[in-house]
Amino acid sequence: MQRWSEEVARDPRSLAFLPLARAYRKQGLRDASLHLCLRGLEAHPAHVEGHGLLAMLYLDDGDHERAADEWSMVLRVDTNNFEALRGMGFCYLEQDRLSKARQMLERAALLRPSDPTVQEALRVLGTRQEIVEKGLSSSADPAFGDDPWAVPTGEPVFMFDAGTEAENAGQQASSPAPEAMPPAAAPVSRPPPAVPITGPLPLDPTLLFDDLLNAGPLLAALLVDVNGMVLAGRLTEGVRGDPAVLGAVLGGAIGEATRTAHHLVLGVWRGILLDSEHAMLHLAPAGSDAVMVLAARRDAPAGWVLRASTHAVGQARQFMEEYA
Amino acid sequence: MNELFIAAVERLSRVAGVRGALLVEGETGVTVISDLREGVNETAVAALAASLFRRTAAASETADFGRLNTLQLEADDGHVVAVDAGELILVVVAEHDAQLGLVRYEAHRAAESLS
Amino acid sequence: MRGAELPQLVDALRGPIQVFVRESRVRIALLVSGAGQVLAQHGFARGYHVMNVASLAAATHASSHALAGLAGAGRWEHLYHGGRERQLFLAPLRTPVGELILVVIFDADSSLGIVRLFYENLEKEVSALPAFQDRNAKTDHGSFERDLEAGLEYTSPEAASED
Repeated sequence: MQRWSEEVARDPRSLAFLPLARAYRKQGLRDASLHLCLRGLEAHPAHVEGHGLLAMLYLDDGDHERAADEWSMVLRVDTNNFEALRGMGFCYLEQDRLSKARQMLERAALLRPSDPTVQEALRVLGTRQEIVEKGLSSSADPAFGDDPWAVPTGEPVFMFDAGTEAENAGQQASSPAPEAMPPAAAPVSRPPPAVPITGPLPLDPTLLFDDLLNAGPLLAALLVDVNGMVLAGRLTEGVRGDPAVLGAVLGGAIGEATRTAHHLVLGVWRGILLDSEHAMLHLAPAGSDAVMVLAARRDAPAGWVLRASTHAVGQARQFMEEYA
Repeated sequence: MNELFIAAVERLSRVAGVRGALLVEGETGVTVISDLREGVNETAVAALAASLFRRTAAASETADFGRLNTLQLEADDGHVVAVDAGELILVVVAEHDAQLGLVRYEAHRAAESLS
Repeated sequence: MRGAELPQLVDALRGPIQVFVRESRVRIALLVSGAGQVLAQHGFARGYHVMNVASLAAATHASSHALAGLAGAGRWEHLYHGGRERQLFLAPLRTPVGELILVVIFDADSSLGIVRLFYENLEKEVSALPAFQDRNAKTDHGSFERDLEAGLEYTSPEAASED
């Protein structure tokens, strides 16, 4: 942060404004982040990520209108920006502009078919359209009340998580999430099934572990070969980074673990649990030439991560057999 | 300081299921202090555990997960737990059926007492 | 072991040294005679003046040996130099036909602890090589050097022609 800060102080046009503003937001320094972001956008008015961050800052304040303005700016520059499409979809949904909301959310769903927040928004949208078609006003629906962002009791929550925007990479946001949205720590951790789910595998290998990724505090689930190449899986929405990089750097640990277990006469290694500053990681061999990498939020229970890994390894083996 | 190291390592070695503990220099993988049961190869444990720790720590930082605090290697016939202790690494070798939660807890306590 | 048998000696050492290089992840390992001649080289030798490294290693070995004697330290185990980018490890490797010098250069992929560990393994493997079991271990230093000279052309023609 100090480096970015010095850079911005030295050159107000520096693009370091973005990581610094993100860091400020993460620390709950909302005003400083907003100020920095606005100043940065003065110098770089078409900076997509800058507008995206500004939208999140407005959203943090519950100012959905301004957030939507910023996302529309993003979409002018980058018509396929997932975050902006999703955000705009939510804003339109909030305003009961249902056809516009569907347009945005369906485009977002095309980009990331497995995103649970988009799927959930589309479901809510469907419910509302049904109500409208039956001649009832959506605002009359007691389940939604006055605030269309509010989630009715018993409804699955929107996982539109202001705290897990790209830069957070597994950290919880220190700034409070909007009231109607669940805070970053809120996602429900369902225990992973004890045995792997058998059945048809998804055609898209990136979706292979989506049952886990959508269920709990996971940031990433990747199947990586001995050369560090990603075979299947993905990072969760909002996690910064490139799965290929994650696979490559962690894949290198396979040989190290094998060597250690062998020379310490510990037999076959079954896993490595890494407790890092921002995340908990688990690596487990999946067959003789691949490793399963799970990354979870720092506060994830270690036991849950271990079980999730066992489950994922089962899926990975099935995948490897199928596509061998 | 030396006595502190010895006390921390000895305390850890007494935990049920622990085959030994040692303090290793992170950079070189050379033992500083150890208390190991007979049959445990000190040179090997120190060098290999430190190497595994260094490599995964570098991977963790490269992947933006931050500094590595604890590593736990699970294998068929035992476990290795390594905890960051500044420039040193505290390494514990445990039996397969050791209470890993307790081992990890004691290792963290010992590492904290050193920093 | 006579000069004509030197190729067998180097052949017998090739496997264990290759394992050493692979397991310890060092950049290069040289097997050098007391006279500074390269008997074998493994790893990424390009970029190093192998002959110069070997000569200096032999000189270091000799002076360390003498120093250890003067200091009453007995036989030296190994020498280590930790540089910022590269690290150097020198160790005597006893074979039934005499003492050779193992010169190892490594970087952050390895560590002193790892090199020491696999050097210990190498020593054990070398001493257990079947090729050495039936040899007379009492070859004196002079005859060993002569044997080396005789066999050098086979093992390292380049080195022999440079001398």
